[in-house]
Amino acid sequence: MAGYNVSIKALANCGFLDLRGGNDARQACNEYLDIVLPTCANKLVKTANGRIAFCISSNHWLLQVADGNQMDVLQSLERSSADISHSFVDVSDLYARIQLSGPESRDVLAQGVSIDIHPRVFPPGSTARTGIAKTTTQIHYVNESPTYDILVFSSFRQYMLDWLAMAAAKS
Amino acid sequence: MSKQAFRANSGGRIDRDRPLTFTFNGKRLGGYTGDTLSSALIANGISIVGRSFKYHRPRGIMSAGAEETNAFVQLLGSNEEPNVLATTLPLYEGLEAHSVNAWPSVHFDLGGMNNFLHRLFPAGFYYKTFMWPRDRWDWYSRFIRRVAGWGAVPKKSARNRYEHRFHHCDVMVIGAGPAGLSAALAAGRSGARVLLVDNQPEAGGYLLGDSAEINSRPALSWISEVVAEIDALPDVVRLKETSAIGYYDQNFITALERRPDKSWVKERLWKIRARQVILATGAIERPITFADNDRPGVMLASSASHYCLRYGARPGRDAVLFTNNNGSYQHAIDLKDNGVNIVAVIDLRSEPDASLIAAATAKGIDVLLASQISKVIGVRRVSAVEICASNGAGDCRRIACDLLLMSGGWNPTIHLHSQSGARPAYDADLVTFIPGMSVQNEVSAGACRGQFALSTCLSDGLTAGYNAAKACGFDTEPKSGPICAAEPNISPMPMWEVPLPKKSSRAFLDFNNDVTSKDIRLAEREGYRSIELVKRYTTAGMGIDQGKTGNVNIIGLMAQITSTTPGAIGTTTYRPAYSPVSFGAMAGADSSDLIIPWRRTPITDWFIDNGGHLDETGALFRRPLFIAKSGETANDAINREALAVRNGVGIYDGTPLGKISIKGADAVTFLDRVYTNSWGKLPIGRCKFGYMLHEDGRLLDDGVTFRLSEDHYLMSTGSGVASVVQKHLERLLHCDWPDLDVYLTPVSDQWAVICVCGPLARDVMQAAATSIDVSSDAFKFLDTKNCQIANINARVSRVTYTGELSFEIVVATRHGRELWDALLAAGKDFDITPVGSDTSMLLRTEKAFIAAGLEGDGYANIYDVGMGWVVPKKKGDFVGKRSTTRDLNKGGPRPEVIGLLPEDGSFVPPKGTPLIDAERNMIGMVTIGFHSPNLKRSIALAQLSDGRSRLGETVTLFTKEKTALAKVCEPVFIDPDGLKMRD
Repeated sequence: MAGYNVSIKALANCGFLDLRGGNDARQACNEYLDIVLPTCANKLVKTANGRIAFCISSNHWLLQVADGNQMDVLQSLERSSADISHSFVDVSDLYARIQLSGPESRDVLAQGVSIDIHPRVFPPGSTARTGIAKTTTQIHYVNESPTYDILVFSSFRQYMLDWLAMAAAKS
Repeated sequence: MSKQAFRANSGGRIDRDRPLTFTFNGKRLGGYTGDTLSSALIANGISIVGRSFKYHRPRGIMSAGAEETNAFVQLLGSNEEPNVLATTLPLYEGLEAHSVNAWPSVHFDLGGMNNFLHRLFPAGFYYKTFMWPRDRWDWYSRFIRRVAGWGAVPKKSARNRYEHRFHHCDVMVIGAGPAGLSAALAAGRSGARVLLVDNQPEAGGYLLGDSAEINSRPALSWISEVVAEIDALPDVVRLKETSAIGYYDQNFITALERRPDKSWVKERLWKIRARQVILATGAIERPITFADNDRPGVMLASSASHYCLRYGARPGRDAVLFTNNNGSYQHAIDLKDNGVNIVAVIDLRSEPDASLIAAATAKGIDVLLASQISKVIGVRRVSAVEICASNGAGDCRRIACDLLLMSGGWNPTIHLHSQSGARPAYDADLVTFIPGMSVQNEVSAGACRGQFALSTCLSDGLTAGYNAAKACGFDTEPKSGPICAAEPNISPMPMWEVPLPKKSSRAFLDFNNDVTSKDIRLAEREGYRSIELVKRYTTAGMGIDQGKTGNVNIIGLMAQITSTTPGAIGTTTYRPAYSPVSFGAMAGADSSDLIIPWRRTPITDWFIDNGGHLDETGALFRRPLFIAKSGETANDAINREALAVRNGVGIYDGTPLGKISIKGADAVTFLDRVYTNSWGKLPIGRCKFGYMLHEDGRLLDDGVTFRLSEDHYLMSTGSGVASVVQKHLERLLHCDWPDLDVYLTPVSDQWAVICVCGPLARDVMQAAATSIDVSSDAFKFLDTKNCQIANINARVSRVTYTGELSFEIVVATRHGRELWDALLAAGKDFDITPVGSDTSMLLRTEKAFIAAGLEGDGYANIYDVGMGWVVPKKKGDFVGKRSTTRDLNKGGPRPEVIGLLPEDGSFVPPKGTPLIDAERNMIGMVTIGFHSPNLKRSIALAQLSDGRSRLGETVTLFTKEKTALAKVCEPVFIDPDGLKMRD
């Protein structure tokens, strides 16, 4: 029996690169990706070709690319940052992606997310690294449908799916 | 079904077109939609709703709200719940409840004998009686538990859904009475995000049962308009039947919502962060302390009026009002106007407001000044009261009545204000405590700060709402407030105890815990002066109602006894929860399978499908301890798996191992500092074992670190300490060595790890189409290479946790299951055997591979566990070096790890078994013991004082069941030279 009016689905794998480095490495990444990496945590920026860079901290970003592209992008970034202090690591399997969408998504999410996700504070395009229930996630508020993409460490994937299903259920 | 004899023919906010039936104490009764259980009971003339906790005195309904102290019931049926407040429980069709604290019935209760024996049960009788003999407490407690009162925990587990919900707002308003509605309206109009919570099914607070007018119209019209406007505001959330129950730091407030918007949710616990909080929680009328003030039919004056006006339920036919203040006169008049005959007003004061006397007299109500009630006649229901002059002059007179209204002044509901950390202040004019200085972004408005007049409540709320919104950046000039008629000050007269007529008379202060004024006096005589101690000694204020009606009277009486002021006495500490909270609401919805966020590897499903006995093995992973075939015991399975690894080939899911990427020009310097050994000479494509210490030299973790490229290393950590090690390393980098060019990335979940181990491991690797030469010459122990296995990109390493020829294969997590299946298929001809973590533990014990969490106990150092070889003599500084060196320099016996061979080879010493010497001194402890199928006998590892010098000696193992002898031996039981793993 339906509970909250939401849809929960596991999304296909994406490529993810963990980027760490100082200003020089950031500059090199900016030039290659043709974006300006934010230096404030919980911000994101999108590239023209649909890549997303989540800022984790002032010298730490998570770059989401199309699956299959990650090694090419990694090698290109490595080339662009030769002789610059940095750490670029393929973490494509570190994260699983889950999508929560539907009119009552926020009601479901608010059962486990302690940060303020009201659209006035967390409008579409926002991101935050925060806990959902009892695990760490990266939440991306994709659009006003509303749709949330949730990145979760892959060993917690099933837990997150089960938890969201429980939170949305009429039981 | 009986007629509702005490229901007015008209009036009230009940829906007379929607009758309901319910059952109370087995009797079918009728009510209406809009009733509470208590209003329906009153309408049916039910005077006894329960028995008191200690003396089992019959008790009736005393109030109409959350302050109720008597009417707790056991709710039955599918919603069974103990100790539900009848005064806040909306009536529903089929409701079934019974009284608590009564057996066999509320009308004939055997526990009522306690009332006759009350002299035996003064305050503190527990502490005095059950102190001797001291060791009999457990015996006493069996009986005490049996007679302990209140409701019973339901035998069935709750099937209802309880939810948690986080919420943020600019302004939170608690209470939807006149002040709260005004505040929410003012704040909401400004555009601020407002949360308005109220514990009633509909907004309005006391105005729902009051005759007051606003703007020359009934107050209810004003409420309707305001609520409609509030509900239309886009960013205002209004929650009904929601009690704010806890106020914590940083304006974090918990609120319990009953019957929320979703039909399948029974209760929802809100966790709220508000930038500004407005407390508009109103005030609670106070009882008066006089003899037998707890009799059924004695009720708070405002509550009686509330029942009559809001529900059309008359609490009695002929009533007497006993008061010490101006505020209660209007209630008497309202009751009179609604069919309750007010026989007399007994005022303790000699000069109340003249206009009130005139108004009462005009209604035909007799007003007796400077008078008091000395006696209440009637046990099961008030039948008359005896009235005397306060100065004792003249004769007393008896007035027949079935309802005694009392009004001892008002207690502002300062609970949340106090929970916020603020201290209340005593107001001598109001004869009560009011909010003190706020310590958080919080303000009180209306009656909860002692502003009892309706006009003041409304303006107070408007101002508070405007100011709170402004503080959040929403500055909209408020509209002017509504207009109300002037009211006289309530001018209460302090009266903490009306003199008792007889020595045996009792006046109750805390009805809920049966605490009388005599108990307070006794506590004071016995030396308890601090109100906190008086509370604990007498249990005053410690009941379910948390002293909402009684506490100020207790403080006042204590002040009177000790000749000081209530302000000097002070209040006790107000603690959450303001009103009772169910365990279900505290637990929330994720209370069963989701209570622990279990982690899974790509192989978990395979284990579930194939007999894996899963258990928590650290870091929230559930791993198979063993994989049992049909009919196998745990020991059977572990023995089979261990034999397979030593003689054939096993396969093990090592995915939970922690993995940290270490990258940067200073990676070697970093590793040199965090590990005890040196890393400068490790070539690319090789790996090395390292030991990591805490600053105090104790063991933190061990593991293998791989060199992947010039400046890129991958560290393996123990499964259970991956996050501990990660934090340790990050802290060192951030706080101690920010100059190092090193970046860490935790990548544990990026990689699936599968180990193929045993003499036939190489055959399996070849059968699995490994793309590299895995011969011993081409692929040496501690080599690590990229390759393909079964067409899957992999990195394979020659490392081991079993001491056998082993290949540790690492692939991207998404390919983990695919690889597992391919290796099982490739190993089928070699009878490849999946191995669990208990078996793995046995295999490492046979090899004495040290586990930091077992052999390292928080005291042992790296030399104690026989790992001194990991500390090169010429090594520079590293974390923990100083403390380790200090241990060496200090000398003396150390708990050294040795092996044990019990004389009885079938005896497996349990983990933790003490080792004792001839004088029965403990000289060591077993860290792990197993039956080794490979050695066909039991073995153990142990810490033993100066153990290395005792090799060959015999020690005694001391267990609960028996003592046993064991020979001390070298800890490595199998292949001590490590030839097999280097093969």
